[in-house]
Formats: sequence, structure tokens, C-alpha cells
Amino acid sequence: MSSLFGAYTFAAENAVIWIIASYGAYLLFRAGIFAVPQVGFMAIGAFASGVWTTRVSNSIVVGAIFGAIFAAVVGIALGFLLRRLAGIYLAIATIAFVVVVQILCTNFSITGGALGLIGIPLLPNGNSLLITLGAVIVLMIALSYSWAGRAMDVLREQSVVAAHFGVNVGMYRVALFGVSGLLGGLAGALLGNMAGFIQPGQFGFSSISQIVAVVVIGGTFRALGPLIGGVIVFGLPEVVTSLGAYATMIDGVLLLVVVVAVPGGVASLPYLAVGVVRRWRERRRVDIATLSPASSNAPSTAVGSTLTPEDETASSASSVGDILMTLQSVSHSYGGVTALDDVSFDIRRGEVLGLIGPNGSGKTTLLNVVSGAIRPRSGSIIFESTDMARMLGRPDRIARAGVVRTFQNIRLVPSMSARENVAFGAYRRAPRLLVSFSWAKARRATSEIRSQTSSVFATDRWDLPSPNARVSGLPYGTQRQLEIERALAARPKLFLLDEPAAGMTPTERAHVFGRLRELAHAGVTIVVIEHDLESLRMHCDRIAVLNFGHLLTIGEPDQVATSPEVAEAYLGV
Amino acid sequence: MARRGHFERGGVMYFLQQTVNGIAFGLVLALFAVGFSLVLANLGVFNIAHAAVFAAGPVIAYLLVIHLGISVWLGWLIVIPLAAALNVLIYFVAVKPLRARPDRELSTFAACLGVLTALQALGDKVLDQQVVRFPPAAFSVTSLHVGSLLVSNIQILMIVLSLVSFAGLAYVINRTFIGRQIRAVAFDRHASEFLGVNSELVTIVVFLVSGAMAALAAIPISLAYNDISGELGSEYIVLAMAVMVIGGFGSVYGTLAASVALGVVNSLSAAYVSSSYSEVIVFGALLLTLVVRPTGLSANRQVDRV
Repeated sequence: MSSLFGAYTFAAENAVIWIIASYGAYLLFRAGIFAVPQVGFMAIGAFASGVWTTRVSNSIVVGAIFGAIFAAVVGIALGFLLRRLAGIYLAIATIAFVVVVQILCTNFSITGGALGLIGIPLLPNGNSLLITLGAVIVLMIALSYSWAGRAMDVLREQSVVAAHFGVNVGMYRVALFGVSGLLGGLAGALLGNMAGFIQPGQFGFSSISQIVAVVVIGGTFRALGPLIGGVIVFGLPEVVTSLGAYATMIDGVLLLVVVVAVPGGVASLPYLAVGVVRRWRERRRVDIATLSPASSNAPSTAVGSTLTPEDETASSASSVGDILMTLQSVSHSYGGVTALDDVSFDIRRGEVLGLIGPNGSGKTTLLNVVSGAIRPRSGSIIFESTDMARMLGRPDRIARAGVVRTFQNIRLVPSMSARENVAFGAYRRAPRLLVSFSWAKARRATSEIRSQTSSVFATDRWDLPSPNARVSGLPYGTQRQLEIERALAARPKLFLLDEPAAGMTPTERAHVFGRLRELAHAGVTIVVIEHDLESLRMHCDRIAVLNFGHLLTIGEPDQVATSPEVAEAYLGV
Repeated sequence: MARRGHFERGGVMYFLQQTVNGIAFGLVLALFAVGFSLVLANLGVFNIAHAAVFAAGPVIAYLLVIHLGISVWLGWLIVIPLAAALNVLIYFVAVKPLRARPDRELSTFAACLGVLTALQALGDKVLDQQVVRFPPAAFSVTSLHVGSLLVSNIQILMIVLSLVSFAGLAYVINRTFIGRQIRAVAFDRHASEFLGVNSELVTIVVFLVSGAMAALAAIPISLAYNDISGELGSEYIVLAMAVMVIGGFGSVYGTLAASVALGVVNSLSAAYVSSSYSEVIVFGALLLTLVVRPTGLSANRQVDRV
């Protein structure tokens, strides 16, 4: 066997195959799915391909494709069956899946029982393995720079945000299980073609540990993570042969140490270093800037020129007053508590509608219903003269239709920079390769989003940070501002804000509401929850008052503010 | 045609005999599973290294028996506190440092998996990669007739021990101050901290109890099946997960019932069909439970707040 690896052929080929399998686990981990079905997929791929090549035709390629597709189909089915599980439950279910697959393989006669299959055609050399691994890595790197990769990162760190900006969480999950199955099945098939035999005993619990070790040591959210992890886990005992007897023990200790000491895995060490340098340089820059008297921190009420809403709405912005959304007797209850009781009203195009009411009056529930976080018990919503019946309770569909929100608690994605957070807002406008197969169109859409994001940071708006700043350390008001910019990147037709000015100073508060006015001028329709009646009075076109889930009144600010019902609800007089 | 004997395959006594075997095994497995699920309820983490704590008991006991010539029973007494201490050590090394991580569940699982891998390899190393047995001189199996059933002293030990332990555990959990604190922390960690519960201490106690229960279960199992290796725990941890899910997370009685049922199914199907099909039944039931009742059998999960 001519080989690139000399004396280490077997070890190297084995490592390559396990790294390919580990990429399947990496896909799930990167999207925050804590599931370990990989070894089961490998067993399925190995035995499907083994049976095919020993009984049907001895083509290695066809066998490997058959095994991979077989495992992918099982993966999709598994992902669908387990779609409602999360956390530890999901992990246990997938471990059970691995055990069941192993037991079934041991008991079926077609898979050769406990002895497994022999006489599987052998690969002539390891080149095809290397090419396969190379292709997988290239695809994974491409994925991590794609919109799908971004969506996976947001799913991992803020799954609620992902859903509210148009990511179909359930579909992603099933698809990722499918691709994970494909990679696992492929790796399993190749394992048979490398050794010439397979046994159910190879696909048990200890193999789960091996895959988790490879991915976690390497880094669960870096495309090169599994490669680096695989080189460490499989390479170390070969390089330091005296370690041989202790190899497994060292794997275990290494896994523990990396998890505890290097949260992002070995692959993120360079990024950590770059981050430290960048932050140090930024700190110096800030120091210089504050020393120089010429630097202007004056707030600019700059035009929202970069932030016009979607073209169609911009052109129809003149027709302020026609109806954008109608809520018809929307009701919702939590257990026995009625949160919304028969609420009906219209939202007019281009208006700023304030939503006010005492604590527990149902404001946030109403916003949650409109944004899809909650499916109402009854009632309907008409948006742009279409009934949203099929979108209710589905934030991703509602976001794709053009309704976007901010959250009461800040929900930025900590691992992303300010720019990346804002850019993610455009997800609903991002090209979907599976739908529009035009690469050029996709590139154009993406570069347009990129330049729009840059222009957000280019305007010297009062408190936007540097685009590369890490969001976790930013001041509260700035994070709020970023959330608003992120939502605007989606070019919403209807923009919902849940207490955007809570906890802000009066100056900041004035800026936020000033900004909303600007947007309304540009044609965005806005619904804003706020406790401060005065702010609403100054900045809203209309105000709706909720109390105990009822719509008390809706109308012009002055009329609402002087209404006796409102006074009673608020002041008890 | 000759009438079948009671103790032949298919006879009534054979059936009862296998049922008793199954109950004995199920009760001991329940000790292990409940220890595992106490930790899960307390912290919401998946301490897979519990399997290594389980294996550590027989491995250390074996070494004590071989090198010091003591009896298995004394060895057992010695390893219980050692296993409890090992479990607490695992808490400090692999669980506590990760408590504040955003990806806490995955990273704790990975860290505990690392501990499990390392300890299993260590166990195999000290046993020279062998599967060993306690020397026959270190303990003796005697069989007693209960009615017309044959019950070994080990089985009686397994049954009595588990029943006593569960009675003790139920007393501690339900009737004592520390038990109330354990329940409070499992229900809502933050709220109990505000009410003055030292949740850190409670967690340490839970890890101690959980480790002790693992060792308590491990010695009779290793005696009954008489094989000891570093990997001893892996097989049982998977069974423990199954009964924990089927019986309901955090439910001691549910886990106990599921565990006994599993023991009986295991034993009967091994006797009448094939031992591997019992695993298909058990894990099929596990997957089915998770698919049909995704929240587990305890419906105590919070919806994501927006």
C-alpha cells in the first residue's frame, strides 16, 4: 500500500475517518444541539455499506454513498422524532439511539450478528480518505462564513433571537441531524473499507467519548476544531510512543483540562490571542481620543438615511393612515389567568403606536402574540390584508413576513461583534441558496447587506460602538441601541419594541424616541411598549391602553391621557 | 409424555426463580440510578463520571482484598466513603468550574466524560487490562431455600440492602432538615438561596450521597456477576439512564419501580428469549418515553421567557 503516512498508515487513516465522523457531531454542537447520535450513524453507514458491498455490488463508491444516504435518512427521522427534546433529555435519547443501533446490529443476521461482516472491499490507498476529509473541511469552512453558519451560532447562543429573525429552528435541527447522519454514515462506510471488516462492538459507548473528545478538545464552534482535535487525540500517542499505554487516560485528562481551561477549544486559542491584542489596541485608541479635545462626542440626530424600510413600503409611505395590521378578538390565557381578553384594534401604516398599561395588563403578551412568540388561544390577525393564521406562534414566519421586534431583556449574541450582531438582523432578507439557486444574486444580496451594515456604523450616531467591539462589555444603553439597529437591518414593515427605554437616562430616552420618530417618517410602522405616559404623549401618534387584558381605549395621545378610564386604571381614582 | 418439572424451562418455579433474580438486580440498579438522578435534580447536569465512581468501588475493593487479604465485606465498608469522596472530587474538578458557562450542559457532560475516560483507563491499568474476579476465599455463596425457591445469600443481601437504603433515603429526603433543603434546591436553586439555604453545601451532600450509593450498589453487582474491570460502570450507567427516564426524572419511586421492572424483564427475557432482546425492549421503551413525553415524566420545565 503506497502511503503518505509511512509506518503510521493505519493510525492516520483511522484518524481521518474519525475526524470526518466528528464533523457530524460538530455540526450539532455548533448549533447548540446537545446530541451524540454520531456513533449510531456510523454503525448504520458501516453496516448498510457493508451489506451492499458484500451482497449487491462490490463498488466501494456506491457502497459508501448508499451507507451515507441510509444514515442521513435515519438522521432526518431521528431529528424529527426528537424535535421537541432539549438539553439532557436529548443527550440521553441519542445515547439510547446509539445503544439500540448497536443491539440491533448485533441481533440481525443480515449484519452478521456479533461477529459483524468480513470481506468488505478494501480501499487501494488512503488518498481518497484524505480527499474526502479535505472536501468536508472546505465545506465546513464555507458553512461557517455563510448565513446558515451565522444562524447556527445564533441558535446556539440566543435561540429565541434566531427564531425571531426568521430562522426556522425546527427545520434547521432536522436538517442538521440529516447532514450529521450523512457524515457519520460516510465515515462508518469508510471504516469498513479501510479494515475490510466491521463489528457492532466498534460502535459503542467508548466511541461516543472519542468523538466528543475530538470535537470539544478541538473547539465546538470553529470549523477547524475537529481537525485540530483529531490531530491531538490521535496524533499524541503516535508521536510520543512512550505514552502508548496511557493514551486513553491522557485523552480523558486532556478533555477535562481543555473544557475547564480553554472554553472554545484549542482552535480558538489564536482568536483569543488576537482578541487580547485588539482590545489592548482599542483601549489605547480610546485613551488618545479622550485626550484630544477635538474629538466630538456630540450626539447627532443624524438622518436615518441608511435605514429606509423595504423599498415597497418606502414608496407607499405616503399613504400613512391605511391599515397595516388588524387584530380581531385576540385572547390568550396562561393556565387560568386571562392575559388578553378579546383585544381588537388596527395598526395604521407609518404610525407610532404606544402601548401602555399597568404591570400584568397584557402588553408583553400582546407583543408576543404579534411577533409569534406565543400562539394565541383564539382570535386572528390580518397583516397587509392577509390572514396570518398559519403564522401565529411561528416567529420565524412572522419575521419573514416583515414583523420584527426587540426584547425586554437584552438578547445580543455574546460571541459576535457589534457588526455581526447588526448584520444578523438582515437574515430574513438573506439569500436562501436552496430556494434561489442563483449564486450571483445571492452574492449581490449579501454584499448589499454588508455595505448597509457598514453604513450603520459609519454614521456618527450618538452611541454606536466600534463595529468590531465585543458586545458583552458594552454599556446598557449601547446594547439597547444595537438591538434596535439589528432589528432595523431586517427592514421591518412593522417594528415592535418592548420597553426600549427601560432603565435609560432621560437623555438616552429622548434619543430612543427621537430615533423612532425618524423611522416613522421614513415609513416604518412602530408599536412601542412604554411605562412613561409623558414620553408616549410626546412621541406617539396614537396610544392604546391595556388593563387586565382588556383594551381600555385607543386614540390620540391627548384624548387618551385625559380619559377618565385611564386615570382610574392608573391611579385608582 | 413426561410432565415438565417445576424447575425446568417453562415451569412455574423457574419463572418465579427468574423473577426473584430480576427483582434483586433491579433493586440494586435502582440504588445506582437514584444516586445519578439526585445529582441531575440538584444541578441539572449530566454526571456521566458516575459510572467511574461505580467501577471504582469494586476495583479498589478487589485490590484491598488481594493485597491486604481482608474480606470482601470489609473492603466494601472501606470503599463506600472513598467513592463518596471521589464523587465530591469530581464535583469540584469537572462540574463546579463550569457552572456559569453558557453551554453548561454540553461542557459539563464533556468534562465528566473526560473524567470517566481517564478513570476507566486508570482502573484498567491497575488491573493490567484484565477482567478480574474476587477470589472465592474472600466471600462464600450459600443458597437458602425460601419456600421452594433457591435464593443466594448475595441476592438476599441485595434485596435487604436496597430496601434498607431506600427507606433511609426516603427518611432523609422527606423528614430531615437537610432533606428539605435538598428538595428545595432541586425545585428552585435561586429561590432557596434567597431563603438562606447553603446550596453549595447541599450540592456537596448530594454528591456524597450519590457516590456512596454507587459503591453500595457496585459491590453486590460485581459479586453477583463476578467480573470487575475499569469499564464496569458503562453498561450500568446506560441502564440507569433508561430507568431514570422511564421512571421519571427526579422521582425516587418511579425510578425504583422502573428499575425493578427492568430487572425482571431482563431476567425473564434472558431466560426465555435472548438477553440482547431485553435491551431492545428497555431502550425501545426509553426512546418511546422520550418521543411521546418529551418533557420526561416530570412536567416541570419552564418555557423560554421572552
